[in-house]
Amino acid sequence: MNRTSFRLFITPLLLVICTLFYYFGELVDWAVWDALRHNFFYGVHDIHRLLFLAPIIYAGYTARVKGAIIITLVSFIIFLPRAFFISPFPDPLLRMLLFIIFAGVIGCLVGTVRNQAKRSRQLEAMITSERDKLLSIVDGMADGVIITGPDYRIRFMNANMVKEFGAGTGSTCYEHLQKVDAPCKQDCKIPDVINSGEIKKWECEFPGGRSYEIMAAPYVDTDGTVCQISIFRDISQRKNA
Amino acid sequence: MDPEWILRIVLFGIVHWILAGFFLHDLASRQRVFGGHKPPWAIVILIIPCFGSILYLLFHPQILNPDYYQDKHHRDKHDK
Repeated sequence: MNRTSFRLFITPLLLVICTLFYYFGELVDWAVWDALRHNFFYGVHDIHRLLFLAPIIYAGYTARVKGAIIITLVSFIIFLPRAFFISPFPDPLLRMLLFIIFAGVIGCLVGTVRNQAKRSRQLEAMITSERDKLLSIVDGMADGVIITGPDYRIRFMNANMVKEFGAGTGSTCYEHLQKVDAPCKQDCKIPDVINSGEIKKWECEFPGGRSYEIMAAPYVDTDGTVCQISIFRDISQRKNA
Repeated sequence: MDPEWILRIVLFGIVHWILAGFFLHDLASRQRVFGGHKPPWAIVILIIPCFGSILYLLFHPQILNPDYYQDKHHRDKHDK
């Protein structure tokens, strides 16, 4: 039996073990195992019932809410003979019912949490795959793409931009692209783009005699910050011609 | 009849029908069942209160692991 098949039988196995434990006193009486006769097996079975939380919670974990309900009801059936015919203590049915409700709620909660965790994982995987797809498209572009925050820090550079200017994510755009210590006064359009939300287009000279046509637009990053996304098109050849 | 006994029978009946509902739905949607025939299982679930359902559960534990077929499919694919 392989691991996956074995997993199927964990819950029934847990139920069988719990049932044997729950009726162990009666089993000892029936089989006359006097050596195993202990008071613990003949007292109020509220403690013994707690053991059934294991299969109920496990069913909630593996089979979600439906599994938790099924195993809670199966546990209820297992408790019935003691509640109806065996228990000499007061209100056996009421105590058993209270436990069943408590265990059922716990099992359903486990199932719900598991459902949500699984859904979150699926959503995360979907978002990651979409992001990877988008990044591969952006990386494959012939133009350079750069995302700059309102603090002038570079948040993203595509492969073409890295090839032209070197990796500079995290550093300021004026230091990395223009090699200056302060934001470019005339050429910089970040404040306009971010504050007014306009799409701007301009030409810009960079060290090394390179000229680029830049088109910038506002872009809201994943953290909610309004940034600037710019497309850099190399026009050096056109300018020099 | 003693009201407590009526309460017991009602409780037993409620549990029986909830379980029967779950397992009959599972039986209807299942392609293969133990023994190959579905009608005997439906009769067992309906005629033997509660214990018929437990019997069905023991023979079809997949109901408690909905990921089983997905895992099996992945494993088979991986083996190929």
